[in-house]
Amino acid sequence: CALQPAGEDGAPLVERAAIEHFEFEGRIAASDGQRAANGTLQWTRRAGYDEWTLLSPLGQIVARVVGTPQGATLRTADGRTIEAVDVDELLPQMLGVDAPADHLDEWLQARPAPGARVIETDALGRPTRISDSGWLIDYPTYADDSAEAMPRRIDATWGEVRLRVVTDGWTALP
Amino acid sequence: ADAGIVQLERFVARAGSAAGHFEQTVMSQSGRRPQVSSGRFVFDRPGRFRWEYVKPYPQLLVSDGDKLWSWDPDLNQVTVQPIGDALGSTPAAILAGDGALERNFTLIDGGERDGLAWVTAEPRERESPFEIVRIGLADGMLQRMEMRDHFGQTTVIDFPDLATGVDPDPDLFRFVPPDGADVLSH
Repeated sequence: CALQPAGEDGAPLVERAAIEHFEFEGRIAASDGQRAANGTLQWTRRAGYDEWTLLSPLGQIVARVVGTPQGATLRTADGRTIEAVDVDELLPQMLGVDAPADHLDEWLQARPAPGARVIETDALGRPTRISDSGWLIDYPTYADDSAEAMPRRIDATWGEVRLRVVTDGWTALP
Repeated sequence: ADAGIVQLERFVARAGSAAGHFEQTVMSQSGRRPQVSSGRFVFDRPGRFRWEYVKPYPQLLVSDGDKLWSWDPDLNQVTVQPIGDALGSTPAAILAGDGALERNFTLIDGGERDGLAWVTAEPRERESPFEIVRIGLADGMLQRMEMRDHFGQTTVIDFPDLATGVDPDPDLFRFVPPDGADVLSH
């Protein structure tokens, strides 16, 4: 595949392998200027199954969104359950910001989703800034200095809205 | 040994303030590997506590009795919320709250297990984040808390070296956000 042009000072973008099925864990801070939410996000993705769990800083589950081809549900700690056609309507309610659910795995793995553009790369050819459907996603730090390292911190902004993630763990699932 | 409830009353009467280390294990129903964390805590009734995670990563929660500050250095973010909403829902608040335990839970004797005398605390309101809380004591001192939520996740906190009557420095319960940190209030 053709390499996208390098950012101003970075090396040419290196194609990054996708982790299709995984268990992800990271801390998340979301705010839209008024409301703010923070805690730990656990995301399990298997074929035809997505489960996002938001935990409070003290480890209590605040909410859980489950998505399958049949539909999506959001359950909150106080026992309320909300059904929807797909997760796109529910994930923002849990995260507190309107992040596009279907691009979240690319965001967290520093891969440009369909239609997104890598604006800047670092000396190893890893994205340091991606533009995607109006969002600017910055990758200030990576987990280590290998080309295929996962981003350690992700700062996504869309006007006043901001989503910041610190990655704590990736486990690839078969 | 005395029944759990008797020991809990003695502990509550004695523990105007307390400090020590904690070890926390969170086990999810979905068979995900348990998450272990540990750190230090101090509390000073009513309502003031400091809950400091050291491992696996630093997190600090400070309540001055009025507001609960939560600081995550990696995220470089502080969130502030009135302690009222959080009071009955965090384990720390249950310890340090002024009567939070009795206000938020019905206390029932929970028998003996693992060498401890237990109290079962059932939430009074349905919206409580906990389905059940169990408090284990020995020699009138808190040793373990077990909390299960509506998702079947169980949090166990052990207090290996809890000391009471520690007369903590009031500054421990004041939190000043480091400059450059984002401060977001709920």
